[in-house]
Amino acid sequence: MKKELVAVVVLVLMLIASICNYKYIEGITEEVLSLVDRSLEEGERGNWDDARRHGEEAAKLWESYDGYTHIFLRHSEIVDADAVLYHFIEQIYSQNISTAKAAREAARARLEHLVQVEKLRPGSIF
Amino acid sequence: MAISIVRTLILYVSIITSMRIMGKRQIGELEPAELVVAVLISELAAQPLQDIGTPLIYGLVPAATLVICELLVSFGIVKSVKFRAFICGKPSVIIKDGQIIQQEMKKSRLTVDELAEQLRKKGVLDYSAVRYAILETDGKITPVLSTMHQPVTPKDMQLAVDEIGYPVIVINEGRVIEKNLQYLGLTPKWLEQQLHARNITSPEDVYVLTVDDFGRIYYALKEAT
Repeated sequence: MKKELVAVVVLVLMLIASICNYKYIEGITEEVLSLVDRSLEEGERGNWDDARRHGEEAAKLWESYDGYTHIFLRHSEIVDADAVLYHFIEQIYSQNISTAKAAREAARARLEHLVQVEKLRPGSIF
Repeated sequence: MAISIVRTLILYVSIITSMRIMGKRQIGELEPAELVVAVLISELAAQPLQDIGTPLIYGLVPAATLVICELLVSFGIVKSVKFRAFICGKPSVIIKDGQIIQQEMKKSRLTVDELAEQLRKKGVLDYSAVRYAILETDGKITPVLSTMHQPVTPKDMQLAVDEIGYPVIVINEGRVIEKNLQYLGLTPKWLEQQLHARNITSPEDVYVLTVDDFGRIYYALKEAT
């Protein structure tokens, strides 16, 4: 009976950990995307220096979670997320607001997808 | 390369631990549910092993979940007969009084060739000698011969024979197993005396030595290399 109780406790802990993991990755992506949004806003105002600064901050912030992302995400997903973030920064550097907007949308879609696949819903399960 | 080695070691230890937690059984003795879990765990381990881009946790978490499920199902099997019948199925009688029950054979999807093979393995060639043949939940067939075809026992012959005692290994490849000596209520001194009486100078010369419940000793000396 003791063994079975431990098994149930471990299962519950794993479920709680998965919910915490979902909340954590949601927090990370929101943080990164808010910097991306600020970068685009600055770009729209013509403040390209600030836009670059925020864009680089977004990329640095994403990289600072490297320890976590490499344990919990597929490496191909991390590479994709890196690619869309740097593509956005590239557009900011080239001071092209329309392509920067498109790159922001791509970054948003890519990072939000990472959160969505962790969310417990029929679409993710099946 | 080093990453692959470390990942393999981690998964190996995890899978061995999982199997130990589930209990030791051989593949042939696994119930259907246990076989499913064993196959699934090996599949789950294989994926992160082949692809270092897949986090180990993608293999470890599902494997841990399966082990937990298996533990809970085993608990349910022990506690409830209905649950056991649902998970493991029920044994079915496929031969009764020498007659093959064809309906049961069809239901169990068992062919005559498979039945013949399994009976041959048990040394049964004459179906009419079988009182009952039971298809067990692990897929094996247990034949019970009719009384007339049962081997003669000492009881039938009214013979007095020595009872069988369970042999406990006391010396294993030269090493004295103290725990087993204590289990038998014996002392190292007793063992020393027994070895001396058999002209054995040291336990290291003994390949195996067993003592049964009645104190009967069996031993084999190490072969000279």
